[in-house]
Amino acid sequence: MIPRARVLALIAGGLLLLRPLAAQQDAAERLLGEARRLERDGKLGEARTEYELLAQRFPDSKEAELAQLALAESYWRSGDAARAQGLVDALTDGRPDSPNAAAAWVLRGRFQAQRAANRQELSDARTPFRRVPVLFSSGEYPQLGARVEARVRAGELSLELGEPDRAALEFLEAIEDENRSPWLPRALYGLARSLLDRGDRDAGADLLERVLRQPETDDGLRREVTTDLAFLDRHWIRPALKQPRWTTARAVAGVELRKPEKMAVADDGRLLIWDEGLGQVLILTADQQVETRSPQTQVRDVWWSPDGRPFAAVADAVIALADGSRQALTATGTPLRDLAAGATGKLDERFVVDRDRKALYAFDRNGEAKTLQTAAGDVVDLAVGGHGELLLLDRKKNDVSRIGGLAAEPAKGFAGSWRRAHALAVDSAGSIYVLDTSENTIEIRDAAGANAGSIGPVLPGGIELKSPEDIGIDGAGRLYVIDSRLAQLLVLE
Amino acid sequence: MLRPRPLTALLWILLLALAPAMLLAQPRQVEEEDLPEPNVWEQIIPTYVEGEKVFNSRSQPDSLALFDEFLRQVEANQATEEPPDEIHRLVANSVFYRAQVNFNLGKTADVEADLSRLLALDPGFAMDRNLVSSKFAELFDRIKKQTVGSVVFTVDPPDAEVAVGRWKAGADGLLTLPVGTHVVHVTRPGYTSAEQEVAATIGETPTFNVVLERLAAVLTVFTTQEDVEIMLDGKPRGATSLEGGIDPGQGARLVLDDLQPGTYELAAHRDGYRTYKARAQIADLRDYVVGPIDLQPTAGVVVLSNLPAGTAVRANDELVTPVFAAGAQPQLVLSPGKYKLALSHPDLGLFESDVDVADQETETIAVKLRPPIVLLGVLGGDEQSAGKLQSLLASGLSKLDRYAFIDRAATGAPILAAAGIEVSDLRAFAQTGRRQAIPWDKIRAEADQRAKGALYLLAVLADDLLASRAHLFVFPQAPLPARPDLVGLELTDQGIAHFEALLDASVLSDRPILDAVLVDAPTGTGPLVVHVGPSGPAHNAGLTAGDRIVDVDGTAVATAAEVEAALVARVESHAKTGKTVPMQVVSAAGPHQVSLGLGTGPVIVDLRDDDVLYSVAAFELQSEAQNPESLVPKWVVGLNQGVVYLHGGDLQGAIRVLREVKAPEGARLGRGMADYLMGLALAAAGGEYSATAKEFLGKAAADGEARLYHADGPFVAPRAQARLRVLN
Repeated sequence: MIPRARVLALIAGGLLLLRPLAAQQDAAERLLGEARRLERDGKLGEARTEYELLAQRFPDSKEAELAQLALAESYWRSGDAARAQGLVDALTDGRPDSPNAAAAWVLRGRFQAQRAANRQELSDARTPFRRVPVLFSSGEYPQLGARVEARVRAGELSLELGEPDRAALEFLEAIEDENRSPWLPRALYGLARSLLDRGDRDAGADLLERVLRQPETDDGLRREVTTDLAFLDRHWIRPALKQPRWTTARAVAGVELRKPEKMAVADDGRLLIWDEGLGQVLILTADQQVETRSPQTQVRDVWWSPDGRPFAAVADAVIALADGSRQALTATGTPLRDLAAGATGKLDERFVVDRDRKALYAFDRNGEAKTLQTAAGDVVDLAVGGHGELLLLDRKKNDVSRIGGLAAEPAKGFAGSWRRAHALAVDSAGSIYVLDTSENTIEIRDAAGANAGSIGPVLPGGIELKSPEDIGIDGAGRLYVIDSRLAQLLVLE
Repeated sequence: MLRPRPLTALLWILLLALAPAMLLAQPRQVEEEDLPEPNVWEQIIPTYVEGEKVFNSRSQPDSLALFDEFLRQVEANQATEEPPDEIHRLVANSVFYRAQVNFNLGKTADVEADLSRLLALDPGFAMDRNLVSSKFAELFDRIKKQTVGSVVFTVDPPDAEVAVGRWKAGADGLLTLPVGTHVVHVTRPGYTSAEQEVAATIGETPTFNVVLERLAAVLTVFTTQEDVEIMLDGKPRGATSLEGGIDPGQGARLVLDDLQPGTYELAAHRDGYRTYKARAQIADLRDYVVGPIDLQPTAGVVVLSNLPAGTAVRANDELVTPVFAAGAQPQLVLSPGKYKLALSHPDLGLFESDVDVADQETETIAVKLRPPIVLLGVLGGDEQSAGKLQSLLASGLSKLDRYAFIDRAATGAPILAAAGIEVSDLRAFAQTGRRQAIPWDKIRAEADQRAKGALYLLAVLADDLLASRAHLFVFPQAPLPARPDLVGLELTDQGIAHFEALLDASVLSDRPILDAVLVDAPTGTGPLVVHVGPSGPAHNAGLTAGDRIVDVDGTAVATAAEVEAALVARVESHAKTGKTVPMQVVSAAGPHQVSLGLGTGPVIVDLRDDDVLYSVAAFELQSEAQNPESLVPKWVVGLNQGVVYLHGGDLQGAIRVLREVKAPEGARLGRGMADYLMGLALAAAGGEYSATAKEFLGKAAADGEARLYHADGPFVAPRAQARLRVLN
């Protein structure tokens, strides 16, 4: 028989052993909760301190793994890529079987995609995403949100890279081979975009509508889908039924313009207008209210980057309108002094045309210049297409050419018969709009360059173009025109 | 001469008489305290029986001690309780046996003492002379002659009883008595009684004449049942009994010997039986006999409508047999009272109902057998939360319409032990998302063996100390896929209500068919028609791509979802009556009205749906597939099964059911989806099946109008094409 004292000692010993374990668990959970709260409140520095404390004090806990993920993302955002990468590596290499390692693989893919400088690097960024379903199969990890995220993100990259077939499969696997998750609407949306990219209008539209029906669909995605559906109606269904793409044109009231010269339209309908008469660059909201006015002189071009940042080019610099910073550009050892047009590419590269040097340059994230074309003196406008390809409108050659881009098989350029080609716009389906200021018309070419109609000089509703200066098109397919003689912003809906 | 009757035979008779009662009582465990206090006389009988056994053996002398002990026990007890006649008989037998033993031992003096004692106890004692020696018989006769005399009584009425205590005269009036003086009692119900002092002497037999005078009429009431209370004019007069040497064939008896002529209301009553009432006419002073009265048990009828053959019925845990009368629903005849009826059928499941049965009333119960869903356990260290969850599940799931909830929570721990896993394994599986080596097949086999159900629930608390959540594993009976559905559950009424709704939901449903693609394009008012299927309801109504629907049967609609809701709301009024639904449409040509012929079509369960418990769906579909009276088309069941098996990773099962799907040709939903699913299953099987997978996916990819899940579901072809490209 075991003596009573010994039994009591054993029980007490067990309690002592259990108590610290439970207490550790509690403390780790508390620290994680606190760090997340601080992060939500925008106190990023304090949040980082808490995460680091958690990772140091309870290195073996699952909360520490979550802290490492949060820290990696935080360091990445603040530009400390090496540290971020180190934390991700620690998880993927040190805890290869943990479900959080799957999330680390996803982070690795995201980092890789964000720093990709060319098509190949962007394509390579899919590899970490694609590893997740292989390393963390649904047979072994039936409920793993990171795997669904990885599939969706891989599909989104495939779409960017102009591989809709590949993308469709990746989205399909996220939809049909995974348990339902908050990623489902994005997967459905990606599949819809893949089908639309392949020209399958009906199935694509059907899926877009289904995205709207998902309870998990957030407002941002809902806006994107609604925008796409509007575009689909204007630029797909109506032309197929021989109906005009736009039924009316209206002059925007409440925005005083004197001599609008340049304009850029973001996908979400925000506008950038350079008005020489006002000496201002105006930023308008999607419902055409003036949001900011930026006094400038000698603006040669304005544009939006693909991620929605506004830029303006003056003769010798590019101005980031969000913070007013100016960046002088130097190519082949000499500063550029006669910028004529500019654009920002999908990999955050900057394209500019220098009229004086008659050349087209590309500057990467680090400011390294590359001459893309040496006979670009007559390029009057630039635009970036859906797959990151650069479109050039050359007045003298009277053509639109395409350079680079992420698509594996980029579309070719095409020639026009415009009398005075002046401005260029491209929509989300790849159709190109060319403003001819001699005829006051806008010619529409489909993605392959085939003629798809024209509009002007009299617009639906009766407004006649007098001196159109620039055009733009938003994601919903609304066409915008600025006319310096009319001193108006016109919207075709 | 009679040999003493062996008591073992009597005990057998008693046992047989008790047997039906014992059999009926079988399901209930009889507790010691339930038994009546044993009768003192019954307790000593075994000593006699043992003595008789030893007497008939080689060690006959040893029986003396046993008979002596028996006699001592009788003597000890008779001071407090008069022994019954049977004991008196055994006492006489004991003394007789004793005399024989002593005779065989040559103890003549003891033999004489024994025989004298015997004749004093029973002067009319008779023995079988063939079984004793002639010398013993001579001795017996000699003693009898010396100690016993007799008298003869002639009585009027002749059936009057002549007796001295237990010694009674025979039919010839001869009364044998020990030598000496006795008082003889002459009695007869309804008559005066008489006493006569007589002297029994050796060698003389005096005769006495006794005439009794009639005082009252005698009513003898016989009842088939014993212990029936007899009332005359509402006054209790006693209960019938089998005592007094009555022939059990006649029933129990009560003699009323004080009745004067007149009319009496006779009532016979016993609990559990309907009271018998009659009018008794006593005309004059003579004997009357009533009966035997056979009381009818009180009973009500419970009609079990829709009772399938082969259903076992239990009332308060006892098996009862319904009566199947021709042309009528089966019924149970039950004594009045409250019953818990439990019906079970090996294939169709269980049904339980409480019923209150009243005498001569009929209750009808619509039997709806439901498959059992068995709670195998609520596991985890937080006993308080475990108890709460068990109670929540019991109260919540008892309301299930489709399943009968059975609580076998005690079986969970042994099942896990037999399967060789810990509660923590299940918790880790649920919480980390990583599949542990959980032997679901083994767990399910244990469950099938210990608590046979259609579906099983196993709850694991999320925490051992303070649980507010639980993980519920739901899996079906074999041979359906053992992989469980995992449901996270808050320990609240709402949590249970949600789970209950999941369990009660059917995967088989219909929805209106439009056969068109509508989208909410914000470029105009009302949903935009993007696509119209050829020859479908939308096409037949005249809808075309580019139209916008602005009104459905008087209801303004702004979105595609509102159109769908408006059509769903009109299924009863239009789809089932053939009425068309008017729709206001704006097209390029202007506004106009179309009439939609509204039909409905099946909805197939989605491959990934949080609101579907696939294990429950698998069981429902299997039942539907096996139901010959099912109204659901086989191909709809098969298509659903294909999805459910694919979801559960049972590729073989999926292929088996999908290859049998014979969907109608040309329908939007059917063949295309079946081909697609078949392609998915074969592609997942891989290897040699890849070529066949391509064939099926190729067929699905070629059908541009085929839809998934419903005639207005997502298109099959683009998905098939995407899958096909991988294989190619």
